[in-house]
Amino acid sequence: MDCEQSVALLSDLNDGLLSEAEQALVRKHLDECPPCHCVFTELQVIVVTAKELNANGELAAPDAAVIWQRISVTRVAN
Amino acid sequence: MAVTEVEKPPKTDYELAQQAATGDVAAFEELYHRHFRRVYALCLRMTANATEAEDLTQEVFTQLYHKVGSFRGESAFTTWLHRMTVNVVLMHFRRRQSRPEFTTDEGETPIQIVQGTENPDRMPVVDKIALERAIARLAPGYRSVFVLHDVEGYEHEEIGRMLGIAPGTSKSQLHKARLTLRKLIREEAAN
Repeated sequence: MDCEQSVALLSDLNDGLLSEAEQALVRKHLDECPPCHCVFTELQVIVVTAKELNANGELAAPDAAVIWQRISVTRVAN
Repeated sequence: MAVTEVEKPPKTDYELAQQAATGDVAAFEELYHRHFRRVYALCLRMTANATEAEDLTQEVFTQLYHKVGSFRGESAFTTWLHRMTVNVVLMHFRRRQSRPEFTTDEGETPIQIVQGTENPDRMPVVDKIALERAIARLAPGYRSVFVLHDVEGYEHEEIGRMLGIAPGTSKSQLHKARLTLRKLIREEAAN
């Protein structure tokens, strides 16, 4: 397996979508190839961090009262 | 003899939805305050535009007000509301004719890593802020699939149905989105 083939399968590897034989092939390549191993590690971190985004909603949100006011007006109008 | 006051448990979303369906504005307002941030966050992540996200949040809750009676409690209220939110955002994309472009696997330029450019010792810090910034820079098609799958937890089959694409295309778009995010985060860290 070369790097291009390996990288193409990294999401599937992370998501548990590969057969045991495919997993073994990719993991063997990762053990021997630090750049691909690096890509895989970073993808794993991205996936884990993305899950945390949903858990706590740290995005700066607008004032809930302002939007509620707009909803109230729309609701009455409709 | 002192009477101990038993604190009532907070109403469930389903109970509030049932009350809201009868025109109980206070119950609807409670639902709004419980779910406002999550709905806004989903709209913002999908549009990468704060003004559009505010407008869409308003639209979601306006629709909710009219449709809340159709919630039967068969799934979690959050799941139901999030599906409604995704539909509102996708309708918005279609209205402004900027629906995310989804391509098939054929004809796409493969993302390659170039040997020698990766430095395993220099992994950038992937914190939530860096990831949020990178998500906002993704192409709309990649962003929708990534947000729905990796942030919101939808399966490819469901994403395919919502976006009108094949599950395989969703899977392929997700992989490319993740690789693009990695590249964007690395670029940001290098600057």
